[in-house]
Amino acid sequence: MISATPLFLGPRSHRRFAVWQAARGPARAALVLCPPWFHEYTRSYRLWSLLCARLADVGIASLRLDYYGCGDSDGEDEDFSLAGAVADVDLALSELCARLPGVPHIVCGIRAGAWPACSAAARWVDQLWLWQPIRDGAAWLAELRERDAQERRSYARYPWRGRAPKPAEPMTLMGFPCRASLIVAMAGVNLGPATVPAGPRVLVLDAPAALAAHTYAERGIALPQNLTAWADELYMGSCWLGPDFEPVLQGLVDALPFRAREAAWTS
Amino acid sequence: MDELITIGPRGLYGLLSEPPVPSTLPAVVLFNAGFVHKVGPFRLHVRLARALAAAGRLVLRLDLPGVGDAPNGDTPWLAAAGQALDAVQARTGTSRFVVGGLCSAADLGWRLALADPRVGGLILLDGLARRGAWFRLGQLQLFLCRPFSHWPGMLARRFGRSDPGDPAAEDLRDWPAPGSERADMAGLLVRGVEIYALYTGGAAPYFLHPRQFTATFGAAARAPQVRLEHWRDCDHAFYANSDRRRLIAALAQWMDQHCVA
Repeated sequence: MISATPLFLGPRSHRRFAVWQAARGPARAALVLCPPWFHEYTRSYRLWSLLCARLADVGIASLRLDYYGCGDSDGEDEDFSLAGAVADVDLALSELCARLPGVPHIVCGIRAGAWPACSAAARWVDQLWLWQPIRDGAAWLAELRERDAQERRSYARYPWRGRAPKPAEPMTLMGFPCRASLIVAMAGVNLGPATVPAGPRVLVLDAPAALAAHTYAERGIALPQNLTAWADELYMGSCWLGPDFEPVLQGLVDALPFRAREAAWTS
Repeated sequence: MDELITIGPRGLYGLLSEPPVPSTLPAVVLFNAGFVHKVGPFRLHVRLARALAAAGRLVLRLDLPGVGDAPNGDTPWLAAAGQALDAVQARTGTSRFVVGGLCSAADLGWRLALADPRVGGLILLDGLARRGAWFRLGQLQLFLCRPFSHWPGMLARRFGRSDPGDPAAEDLRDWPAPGSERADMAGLLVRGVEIYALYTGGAAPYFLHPRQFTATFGAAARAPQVRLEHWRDCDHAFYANSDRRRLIAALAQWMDQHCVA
């Protein structure tokens, strides 16, 4: 595993944490990774670290980002917003362009990370990768609320509570404090042909059965079950990249812009 | 303000939350809770570190080998934890530490406290405890607090055949061989180590009654240096924001009272 370099982006009063993963050898493409939100971020963090290490092995450099108010970035939980996440991705892309100006640029949005990725991709990038993107913000919000209710009445989580569930806490989603404006923004998201940018080539990675629903995608790559199941889980385990990731990686390499594939061939 | 800090020679790093003015208080080092990276479950470590830093303490959170951003490497966690203390000491001059955290972090903190005399305080959140008679009493209390409709299922689980391949709580943890913890606890207390031990309701598979603590660690565990709490209404990962706020306040208060030199 190539060791990664942690860094901060942005002014000292408003820093975003990121991890730079240089390519092994000359870079043929560079990618900004927009992580999923809330509990999905924590659950899958190791997976994206391993993913970026494998991408580095095939010549793709990456910058993994924590949005403002999330992860190791500055800010309180309540400071996280969709508009702020879009600005954070823009900042990361400008850093990426400064570091590697001569290679194709990709933005990869995971789950709800697809939303700021789509906004930024319209202006900046050659390719847009969407990993299990959430298409309907309102439906996902309803799922999160149902899941939160399940967690609060879970016997395994709260064995001493008898019949009464743990009380709901106002202005939180899956245990994370948030503002009403974030919930409103989430409810208004709908990924589709009208909202996914037409400029960059769009590639979707998802479970085989879910791929057909992403009608805006130019190409789809089927993910094995162990690379999609994490999104439904909420515990302190870890996610791994197994051997069944190799065909996925090959699919990503095959989908790279021509000049990046050419670079690989000549290097 | 959080600053990056390199730990050891094998690609580990951490984030050091620094107080607004230089501090002489013992620094705090938070280890990974299970395989959750240094942010902690529901961002608990970030909020705890920044709150303690605002109150005048240095706080380091890091990823141990194989967790989060850290390479797998061949450095054992205990050695990496010692390197974390070295890095903070080299950067700040601090030579007294409060270490530990949640679940596996408590287990590692315990082992580090035994091995490293720089450790003067221990945070044990859902740390080691042995079952026994008090646990059985706790099982009875738990049984009685569940709705009547749940009793048949609970009885079936209690007396049904379990798969011998199923791991018990202690199989998943880095706990010492049974029996050694009493002498170890006494030794730590003689050395002046302060201990904050909190068990949540989520530790129910192995901890159900506060008297288990003394039964596990012996009479020494009743010393004033030891603070024991049992938050039955809180889960293992501090899912509720109110529980995280409560924990941060409790730890800040305990450190103000007990970890000042």
